[in-house]
Amino acid sequence: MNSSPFSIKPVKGGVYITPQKQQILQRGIQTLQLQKRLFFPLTDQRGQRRKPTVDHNSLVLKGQQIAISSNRQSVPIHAASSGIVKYSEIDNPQQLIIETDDKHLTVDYFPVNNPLQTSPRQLIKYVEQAGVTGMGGAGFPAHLKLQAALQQPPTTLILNAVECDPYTACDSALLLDNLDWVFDGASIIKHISGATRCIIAIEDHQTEILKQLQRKAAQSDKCFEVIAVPTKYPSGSEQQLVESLTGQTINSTQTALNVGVICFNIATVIAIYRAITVGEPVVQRIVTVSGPSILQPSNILVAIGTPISKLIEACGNFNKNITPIIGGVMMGQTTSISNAAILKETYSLWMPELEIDPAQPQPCIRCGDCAFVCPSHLQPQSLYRLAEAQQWNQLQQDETLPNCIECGACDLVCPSHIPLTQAFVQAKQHINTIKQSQHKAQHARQRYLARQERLEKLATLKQKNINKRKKPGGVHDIINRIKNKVDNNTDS
Amino acid sequence: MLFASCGGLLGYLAQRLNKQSGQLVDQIDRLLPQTQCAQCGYPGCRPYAQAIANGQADINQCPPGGQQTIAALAQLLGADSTPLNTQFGETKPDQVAIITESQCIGCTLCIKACPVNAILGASQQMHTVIEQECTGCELCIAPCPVDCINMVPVASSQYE
Amino acid sequence: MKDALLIIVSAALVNNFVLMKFLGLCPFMGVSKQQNAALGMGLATTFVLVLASLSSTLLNQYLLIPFGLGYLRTIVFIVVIAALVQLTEILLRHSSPLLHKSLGIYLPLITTNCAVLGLVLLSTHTRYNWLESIIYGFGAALGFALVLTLFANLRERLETADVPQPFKGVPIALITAGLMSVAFMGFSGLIPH
Repeated sequence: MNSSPFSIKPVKGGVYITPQKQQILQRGIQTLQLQKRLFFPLTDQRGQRRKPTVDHNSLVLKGQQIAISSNRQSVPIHAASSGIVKYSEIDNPQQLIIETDDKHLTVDYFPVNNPLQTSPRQLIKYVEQAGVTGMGGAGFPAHLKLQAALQQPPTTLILNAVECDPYTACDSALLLDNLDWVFDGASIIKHISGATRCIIAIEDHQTEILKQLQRKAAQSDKCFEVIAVPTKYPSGSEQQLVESLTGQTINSTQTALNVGVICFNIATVIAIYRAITVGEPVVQRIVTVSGPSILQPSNILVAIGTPISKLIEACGNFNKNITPIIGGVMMGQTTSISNAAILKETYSLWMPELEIDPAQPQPCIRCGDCAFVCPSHLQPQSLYRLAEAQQWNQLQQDETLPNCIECGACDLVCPSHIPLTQAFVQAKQHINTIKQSQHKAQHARQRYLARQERLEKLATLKQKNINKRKKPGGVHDIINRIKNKVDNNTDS
Repeated sequence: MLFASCGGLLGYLAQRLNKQSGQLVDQIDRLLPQTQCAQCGYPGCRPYAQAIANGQADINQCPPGGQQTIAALAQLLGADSTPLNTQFGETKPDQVAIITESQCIGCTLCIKACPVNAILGASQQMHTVIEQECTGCELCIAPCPVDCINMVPVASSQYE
Repeated sequence: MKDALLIIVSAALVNNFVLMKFLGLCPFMGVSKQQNAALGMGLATTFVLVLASLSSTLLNQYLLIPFGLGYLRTIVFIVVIAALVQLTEILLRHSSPLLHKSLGIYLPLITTNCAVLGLVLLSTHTRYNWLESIIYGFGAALGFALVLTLFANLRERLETADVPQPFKGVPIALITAGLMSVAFMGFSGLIPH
């Protein structure tokens, strides 16, 4: 590792994987021509539903808002090109499909004139209206993160250019071409969040980018620290990056803001910059297409909503029967949707050589390699044993499983080829379902107890009323007296 | 004589310290699904928890809780995890009650039967089940004089 | 001080009551299914053993031998142990009803735990005074609790391990206990005789 003053110790755990980015970066950024149809799912990655704001068969312009969520927990989506909008189903559509025309008509954009003099709340509104989400893969709405920062002002802003997946190079390419935007965007985010310290983190093997960053940081009058992170997977994960840069651990119940840090992916920073200074919504992004089945692995600038099959064709795919993996080689997943399209958070497409046929897993030999490489300091062999035996109670009590970031490092090193990450994802789902049932049960118990209380109160009230009636002077008393009189009269 | 005095002392201590603490019953009750359906043979979840604490009932008598609840109880009490005793019923997938509104006569018998007040309505007014609050205990089905309540499966995932 | 350490190490490790003398196997097998129950049992037995050791030494020295009632030894010791176990049960039910429930029948069975009776009978052969007998009881109980906890942890692991069908449950547990016993034999090299 280089011993420059800007470098730091490698993250604990993780695996050293040789990056395969040079060839991709040398090709520069290619642009894919606009496709005939663009697809926009209305349910976002986190399950929030959006409603269309344009009618079926209406004309839209590029940059026009086409769907919005009813609560503000999701971002609006915008047309990536002018054309005609169609609903996938007339009632309750699942997707919006734009049939593009070649006219490239765009709506008017309204930028902010003096961002550093504008109030943070105003700026956050612009970010929300532009539909900015985390473009590093998580897709968390940027405006929600900034709003949370207003409540809990951080001290440090981290610009995450680490991009630790060995085949992904989209952020590096974006950074090389747009250094000014990154620095200006960082200043705006510092203004919004109140952070005073700004760190730009990048992998140490990216020597060219590092040089340019250091030069630019030295020229800038604002304070920017450029830190080279050792090239180890998964040092780009937010939790791991914050831990290695500030020494603070974040567990699954916390966010970076709890430890005074706000962290944004480089592409998100540029999107925020463009949203504020140009008024441009998120309608395009760079995606890396790579893998053994691709003839020309490259970074491609593509409109959001482009079908991924077109991207793969453009780069030359000589294995037509392979299912593409959306996401990087380590954390990507195959999709069952046939028309899967590029979303705002799609950063990489990877085409494997052969159809992935999971090797028959052999028994765990307790070698401990998985615990050695786990960046979240977990014991995967122990968690796997419990998950396989379906001991959900013990897993829940263990409390470390939610800290798994699903990076796949344990899968990579396991000598028995055990699908550990898959087991953990399923175990997490099981435990979540159990937690929900428990929550529901406690809620039902509260209602039951409230009902018992109400019935008891009713019963005591009734008893009180009955007792009242039996007091002297009451109706019962009068009737008894008359009865007695009548009896006496009849007797005598 | 020495032993007689020991015995006396022990008896006295047993009297003094023998307050029936509800702590164990609470811990057991927290693991039960709170449907208050009485399928276990006890009139509610807390009486069943009490019976388990007293050693009168077995831990595998709760059908809505299913194997998950049995496993949790087994772990809490250090007992063996046994399969559900089907004499008390079968574990059904998540379900809610639904009232066929055209047949409802507004008698309020189901409202009175629901242990969590999940049925909205009043005398001679339409009755309807609040889906989020319904636990699927089926206690409303029997009292309905016109048989207009049915159970339908819910889309949520099960943990079995 | 050195003597005390010697007594503890000897009672806990070298002459471990469970794995070397093979006493107290009933709670060893019965309570070791769960870690917290095992620890609770270990602590309860420690309480009983220390007090039993002290009281039996005193009774033996000042009551039985001077009056020549040596033949009553077994009966007297059993009654003392039973009283102590009853006391433990009352205290445990008051402080932790959950532990009391999970120990179940094994709590009263400490009375018939041959490790306890074995300890008090064996200590009559030693020349320990009352302080040393407390330390001896404590050392023995420490060894018992240690082995019980270790074994409980191993059994929890065995629950989810891929054990062949004929060995599942008690058989593999007994084999594990045997291997632990062999391991503990190594401690006999601690004290040069």
